[in-house]
Amino acid sequence: MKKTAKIIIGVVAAVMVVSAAYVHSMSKKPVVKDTFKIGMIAPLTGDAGFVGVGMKNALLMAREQWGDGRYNYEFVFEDDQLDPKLSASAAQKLLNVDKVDAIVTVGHAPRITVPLARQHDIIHFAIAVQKDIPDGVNNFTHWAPSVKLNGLLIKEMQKRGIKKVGVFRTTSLEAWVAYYNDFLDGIKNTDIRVVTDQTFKKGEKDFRSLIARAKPTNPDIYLIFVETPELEIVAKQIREAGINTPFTTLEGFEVTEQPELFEGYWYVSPVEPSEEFSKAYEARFGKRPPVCSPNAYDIFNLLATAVERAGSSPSKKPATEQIVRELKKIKSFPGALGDLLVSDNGMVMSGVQLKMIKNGKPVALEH
Amino acid sequence: MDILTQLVINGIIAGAIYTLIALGFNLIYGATKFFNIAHGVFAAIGGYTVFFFFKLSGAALVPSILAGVLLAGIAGMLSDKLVFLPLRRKRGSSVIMLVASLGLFTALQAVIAIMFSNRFQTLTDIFNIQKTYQIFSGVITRIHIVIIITVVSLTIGLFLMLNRTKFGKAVKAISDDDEVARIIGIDTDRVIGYVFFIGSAIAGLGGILIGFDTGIMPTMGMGLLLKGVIASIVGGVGNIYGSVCGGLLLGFVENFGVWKISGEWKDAIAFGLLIIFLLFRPQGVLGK
Repeated sequence: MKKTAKIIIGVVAAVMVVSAAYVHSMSKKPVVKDTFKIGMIAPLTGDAGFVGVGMKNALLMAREQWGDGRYNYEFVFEDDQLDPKLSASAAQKLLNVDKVDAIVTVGHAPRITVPLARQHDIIHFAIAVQKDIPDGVNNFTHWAPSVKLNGLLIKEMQKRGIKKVGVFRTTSLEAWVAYYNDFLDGIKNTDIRVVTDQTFKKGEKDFRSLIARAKPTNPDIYLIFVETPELEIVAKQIREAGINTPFTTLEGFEVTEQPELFEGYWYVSPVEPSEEFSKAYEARFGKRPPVCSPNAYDIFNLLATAVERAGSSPSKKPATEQIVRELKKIKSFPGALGDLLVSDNGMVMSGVQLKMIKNGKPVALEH
Repeated sequence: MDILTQLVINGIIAGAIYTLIALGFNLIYGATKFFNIAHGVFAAIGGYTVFFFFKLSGAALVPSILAGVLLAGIAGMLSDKLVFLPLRRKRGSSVIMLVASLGLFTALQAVIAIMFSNRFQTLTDIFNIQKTYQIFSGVITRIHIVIIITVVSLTIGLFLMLNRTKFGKAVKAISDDDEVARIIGIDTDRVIGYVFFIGSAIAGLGGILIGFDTGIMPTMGMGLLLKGVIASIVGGVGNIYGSVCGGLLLGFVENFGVWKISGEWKDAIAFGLLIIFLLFRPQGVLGK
């Protein structure tokens, strides 16, 4: 009996030791977090390089501020130099080589990425104005709506008694075409009319003959829809032709390196980012946040919020469908561009602002 | 009337710019009988040399321009010594020379982009509004007047050089038949080397003047070269005077073309002119 008791006690003790060791080993096993990969396609070099660099900085800053979440967030940055051919190869690389879960785009890349996002069932967030890009399934946009930007532009023109508008615009970038079409729609029931519409390709440097054509129409204002450096070249050549008519635009003047060309001229652009974001960006990178950087910052925070809410286990990131469902539940989100709402059709809209170049700097005006 | 005068002025300005590129291109083509694609990049070398010395280093304007012209010329001469001369000695066909020049163009353009970035740059401190002058009811800027005077001077200079100097006669002899030129004792390799120097220096000067007018970027060479080649073919490839004629014709057709149709068609108009000439007058206005 004594021997049997000893055996039982021995077996129990052995089982307890093995169990304790097993529990101990289990408790020490680290939880492997799954990684959510975000690709970015934007110009990181060239004339528009400041846009992509600003977006990259904002994404990195947003991740730093996000801290330790349920999942790891990894970025892959691709430079497309605002060239659609490079945008296309960058999108293919991100999807087929890097196997990203989401892509953030700007410029030509949104149009190229839309069908690919559907095909690969990933989330695509575009900083774009085109209304047909967001679908609320795979494709989302975060920008001030063109109708809102044009609405304020037209309202200000009416307020200032402007009736004849001369237009210089590029047809090479889809966003400018979308802006112009919405501008034409917006002035339909007003007394504003376009007296000259001069179009040109991206890369054009000699606008003198187009200016000669536009000059006799004597517009009250020139509306310039093109990005730097053509923006500055066309403005300079208009002045050299002896024309002193004021200029206006959507977005453009605040990204120019020659603000003196536009001193005293008003324009409309998306709303200024919050002070909190601007100060944090300036402290981290030593300069004011450029255009599109607050959008990229917001996109990361919206995506990460949806991913964390949708995920059930840190070791397995949620599926696109689950993330999209959570994204569309966001109806009030404190972003760098104000209180954000994700609409059912995939649009995240920010406000618009009337501005003027004063002493070489963009200043917000009351409207 | 207003617009017509301005279009004539714009046509002359554009024509002068195209002539600047076509002059050097034709000079080199005449001596070597191949399409030197690399010619475009020497315009960028000229522009970026002035950008480096004048804008980045704060050197005086005239020495910076001289350095730009000289460096473009030296780069052109070196391209002959290191690439084209060895190919000529190996009896490389004009297609091989063309492919080599394309490779050289791409490599040099990449070097410029690495050194100075792909960004558009201006040669002045800011986008200065240039001083303008009234001609009838049209307007012309100071830099355009400089460009026109430069083209006229260069054309006269090249005319005198080709017709009044021993070197010019050697160049013409090589253009006619390089084998015969060699038999009669002309050091063809040396003369062609100098031709590369002069032609590339003219392209460099063109790049500098265009830089002062609008600005520079590493990829500027290809656009300029294409227009220069069109001007050469239209005027008469290999013919120095054809460069002026072709350049002006191209400038006028482009600028009068966009008078009635959209500005996006400017390049299509230029290439349309090229196709018409290739189909109906391949020897160009003045012939070879």
